[in-house]
Amino acid sequence: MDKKYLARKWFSKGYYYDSLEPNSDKAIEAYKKSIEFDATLKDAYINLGFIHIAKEDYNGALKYFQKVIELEPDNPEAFSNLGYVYERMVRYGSAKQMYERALELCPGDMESMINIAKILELEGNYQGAVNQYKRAIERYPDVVSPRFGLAVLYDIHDMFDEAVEGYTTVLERDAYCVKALFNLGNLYIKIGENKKAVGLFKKILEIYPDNIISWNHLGSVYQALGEYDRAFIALRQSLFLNPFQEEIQAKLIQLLYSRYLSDSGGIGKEEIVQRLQFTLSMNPGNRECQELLKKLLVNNGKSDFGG
Amino acid sequence: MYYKYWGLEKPPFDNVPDTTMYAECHASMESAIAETLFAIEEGGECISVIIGDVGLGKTMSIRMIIDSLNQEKYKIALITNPSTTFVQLMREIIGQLTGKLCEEKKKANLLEMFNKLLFETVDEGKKVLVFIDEANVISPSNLENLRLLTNMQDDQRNLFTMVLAGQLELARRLEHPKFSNLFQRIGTYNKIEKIQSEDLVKAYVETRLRLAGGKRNIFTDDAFGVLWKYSEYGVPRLINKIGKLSLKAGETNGFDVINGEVVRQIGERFQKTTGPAMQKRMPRKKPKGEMPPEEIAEMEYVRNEAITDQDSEQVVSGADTLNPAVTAFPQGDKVFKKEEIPDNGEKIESFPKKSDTKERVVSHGKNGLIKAEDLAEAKIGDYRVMIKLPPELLREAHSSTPEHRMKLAGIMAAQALKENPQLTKSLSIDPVSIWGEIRDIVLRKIG
Repeated sequence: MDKKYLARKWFSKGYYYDSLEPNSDKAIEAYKKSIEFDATLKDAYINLGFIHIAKEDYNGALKYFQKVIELEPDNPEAFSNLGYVYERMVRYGSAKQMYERALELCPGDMESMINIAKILELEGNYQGAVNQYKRAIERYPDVVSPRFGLAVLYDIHDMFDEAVEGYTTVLERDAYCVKALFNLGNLYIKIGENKKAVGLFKKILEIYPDNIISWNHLGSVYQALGEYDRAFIALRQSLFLNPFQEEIQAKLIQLLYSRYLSDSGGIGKEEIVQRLQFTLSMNPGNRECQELLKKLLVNNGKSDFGG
Repeated sequence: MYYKYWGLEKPPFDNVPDTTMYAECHASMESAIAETLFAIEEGGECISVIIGDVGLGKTMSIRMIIDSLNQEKYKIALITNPSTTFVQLMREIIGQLTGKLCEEKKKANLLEMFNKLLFETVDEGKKVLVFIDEANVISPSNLENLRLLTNMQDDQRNLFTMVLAGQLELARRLEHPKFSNLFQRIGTYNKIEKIQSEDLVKAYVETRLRLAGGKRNIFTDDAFGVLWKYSEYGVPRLINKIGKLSLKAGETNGFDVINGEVVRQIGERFQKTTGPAMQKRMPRKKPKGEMPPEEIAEMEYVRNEAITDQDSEQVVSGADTLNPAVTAFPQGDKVFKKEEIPDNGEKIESFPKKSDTKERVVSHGKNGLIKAEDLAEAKIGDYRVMIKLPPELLREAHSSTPEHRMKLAGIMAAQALKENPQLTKSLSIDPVSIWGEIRDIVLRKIG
């Protein structure tokens, strides 16, 4: 039987095993078998490299991706993959060399441009990274990823105005880029533009109604805006999704307690007591909850606070 | 731009490397940069050390040192995470210095290559510089290996300088008697400190405002104490962040000055926010197999045939290796999805029957076997769940006050709720009330 045909068959079998149970030994075995039949079967080396990446065996991955480069010394993707492995090994200098080689082989390749920017960023070369992202944006003005990378870089370095502008331009191109919505929302909270933040978190929750962090942020923003009813709804929603958030439970308790003191919203003492007890069952040492529970049980809650 | 509102020519608090913003601001950082530059450019010292806690400016100092150097005169390697083997470290250093990948496997060969590189670089009229950031994560054995590198010096010439920057752990290591040989080779040793008092924070802020073109006092005196407190008592990165946000808030609200209350509000606010979400780093796409599952099934046939197939035996050396254990290979059209595989993990699939022996084991928990007597059955909504009642908590409950029993029941109920996420799937029932229900059941059991 033709060796190359058998190699291809074993490769497909490996791929099938890999899709059935990712990174399984059976997939590895089948890919290796395909290489036994055809030592030049590049795709098998690549997939073995990917499996080793998934297993965080970067030395193993390195071996296979280097083999791909031996087979195809002019393949930019092979250099990108090798660069990625070096990046994971925290060998940033080598990673940069590989990404630069990929860019040489495929001038203007956006992914390589971004990869280089990311390495510069990881090396602490802020200005170099900014310039690299800007080059990528100039070349690909309508693409989101270099703009997003630059915005995050600005964000990390507290360049608030630049980051806001960066995320805004991302959202102009992709209105539903959730990470940009989230980061911009966060930024607006930082710079005190709470009303703008509300719109962004609401938009995320339209797309992902179960996003707990966004409910929490929305609750905090409403609280900062003095919109306590809305804050209450947002935090409660977050706790429906995951009741084991001690800090958020404590926040909701404070809101409930304020309502209870002001006799608004029909909040009963029992509800607060039960929530306090629940929070204390997560962390019996929560002093704030302990004290409030004591007050509610001993003094009927309102006396100490003039309620 | 917000800084113009305050009569400034440029942003005073950007957390980015800028050599023009450091004069007299943060004395310990300034001197770390100046002394290290001197050691590199003028001194014959082999090792320079910069110590400092998170956020104090080590990485920025390194960047500013590198940016200040005449790049024509140096070959520079910068290692930003040295928590790796010595061989990998040397490969990376040599790779960066030569601009070529280095995959030499033997340590002796790598040292030889490095030595050769040092002399070649000096012959070219240049000098090798090796910067290692986060050097506190270097293992003790790698630190000793790095010391050996410093033996590679010429009697007349200083062939290279290594700059180690790291957190306090690095200082502790270097000062340990075990590393006295290494310590002796340190030429400059600088510690970047926090800004240690309100007065120094005031000097820092006002200097930066002046360097940015400011002509008047923007922050009132009561702001500096608050700024010091919210910056974790003098972390420059945080001072810059709060300072910048305060100026922006001042511009938005039309303030004339920034007082302590503004700084307090900003400090409170940013403590609540998280870091940005980033794009996931990924390699390029995997090549796909071309064969549909039906053909794979056929392949199984081919494989079995191939074991005895003459052609195949000819192309594979060691035919016995051609028979992998493909026990779960789908038969016919039936392809099991991963979710359909029966779960024999930790879930409790059935309840103990009353007729079972007292000590029947019904489940394997994370901490070993769980006995039937340690479980309480509960029906919550549409679900039946088993609640674990750890014997030690039960014993504690039996000999405690009702109040304490209530607390213990609460803890067991919270645990049960956590282990049965299906109970809280419905968004119409408050999980806390479900917890209350479970707690009552536990209370009845232990009461």
